[in-house]
Amino acid sequence: MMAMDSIRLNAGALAAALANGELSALEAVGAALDRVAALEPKVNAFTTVLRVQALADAKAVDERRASGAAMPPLAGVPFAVKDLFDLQGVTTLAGSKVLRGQPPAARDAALVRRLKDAGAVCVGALNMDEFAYGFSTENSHYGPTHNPRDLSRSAGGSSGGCGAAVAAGMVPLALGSDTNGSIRVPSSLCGVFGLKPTFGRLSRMGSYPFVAGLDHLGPFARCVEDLALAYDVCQGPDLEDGHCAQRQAEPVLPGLALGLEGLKIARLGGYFDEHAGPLARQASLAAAKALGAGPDLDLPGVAVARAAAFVITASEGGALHLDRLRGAYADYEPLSRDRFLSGAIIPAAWYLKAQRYRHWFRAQMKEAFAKVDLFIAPATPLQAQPLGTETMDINGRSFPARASMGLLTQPISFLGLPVVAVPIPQPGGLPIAVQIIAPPWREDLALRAARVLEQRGLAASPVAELAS
Amino acid sequence: MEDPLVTVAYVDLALALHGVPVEGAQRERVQKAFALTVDLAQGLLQWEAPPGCDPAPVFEP
Repeated sequence: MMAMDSIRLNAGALAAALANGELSALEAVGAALDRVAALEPKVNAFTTVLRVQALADAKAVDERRASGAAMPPLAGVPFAVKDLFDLQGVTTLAGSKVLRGQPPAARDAALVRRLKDAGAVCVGALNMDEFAYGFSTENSHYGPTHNPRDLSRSAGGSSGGCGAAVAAGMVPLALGSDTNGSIRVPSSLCGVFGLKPTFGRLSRMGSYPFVAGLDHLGPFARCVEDLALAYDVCQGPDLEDGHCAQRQAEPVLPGLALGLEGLKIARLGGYFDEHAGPLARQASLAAAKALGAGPDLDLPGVAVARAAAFVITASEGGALHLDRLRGAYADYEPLSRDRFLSGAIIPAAWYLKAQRYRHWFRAQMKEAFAKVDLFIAPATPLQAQPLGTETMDINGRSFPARASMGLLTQPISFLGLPVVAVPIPQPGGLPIAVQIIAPPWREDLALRAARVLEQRGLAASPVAELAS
Repeated sequence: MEDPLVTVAYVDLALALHGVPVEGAQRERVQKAFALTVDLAQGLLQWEAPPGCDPAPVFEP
């Protein structure tokens, strides 16, 4: 196999090719780094490229393999992480300017360590909205990330670099974060698969926080099997993270082929239809049909759930940054600093009401899950919008573009439910994703359904065709 | 707080209480952002929490 062909392989296939000796880790990682170097001037997905370290790590993988040692499942597979994961020896910027003076991280974030223990090779850190507060990755400090499916458009956010790097074939795997939709929105706009696990499932140790009660970490990939592979490697308790459930790993890869046997599935209508454009609605209808879904469900109180998620996010995010904003307001991202300040002064009574609503809404969802195993909903109201878009039209109503890409994801992460974002290619157009939403701790069910959509040809994530 | 004048006065007071030195156009942008929050939060503020919704740490059985 030619090394340059390896960038088209998914992580599982690449790991198999490496194990078979079709190419070396040095060649695979070198090909990924060459792809990054060739496309970065157009895409701007990375904030840091670790070329020297990645090549050294790849060489170490090859030497280990040559010694006859047993190899872990992702040996030699390149990956990258959102710029809020600690990478040993690199300053974690979280997309900001104000953290540039901080010392380099003393060690890798827990999930980075787990992927490296599985043999994967980190090639760098990925662009994002500053401090994860946004849905467009239009970062004034590091430039906007361009969508590889159409370079004039946004990659979504806040993990826009993740979505773009995976879609462009720079890496087959990336790790991102999702507080209100920051894995699912770029998955939808860039046309890749993304998994937001159950709140508390994966360790957040060594990642820069945004909203303690809403932050989730998870993988991006170009196929469901890769998502499962990366997720399984990342699972397991972490005593260093107080928010990580002390729950043993529950591998999903072995059961991925179980299909829909015994699963009751419904599409979420109501609010989700009202806030989805025609293509998003059609995608969710097509997914529901392919999965044999029953009648739609109109879940009560979703609009207020979104408002409550907004209030909690603004309050906690604002509180986190208030001290620094007093002295360094001018160094913050112009697109988010006023929202941080506005959030910091939200009355405590409103914040508490939002938390109470969360409690109530969780009970409504629990009741819904007594009758249904999985819910389908669109992931974003519209496809990727041109960079710089200020407002967008959804079913005849005008919405602020940057905040509203999360209209359909916020009510779900508010509850901490596991969700797989499944990209549905549109003939001659940009992709858009659907969310497959499962009960707490049942990532396996959502991944099984996503795999069925992939097998039936409805879902796919081809490498974006970009002239390098 | 739906009255825009009340919103502006609240933001000015809260920023002063928190010791955040933003003035002029910067302060106006914060006022605008807060007005959007007020608008968005209306449904939540009108919601009446039924008994038992107070989030509190509990030990799982």
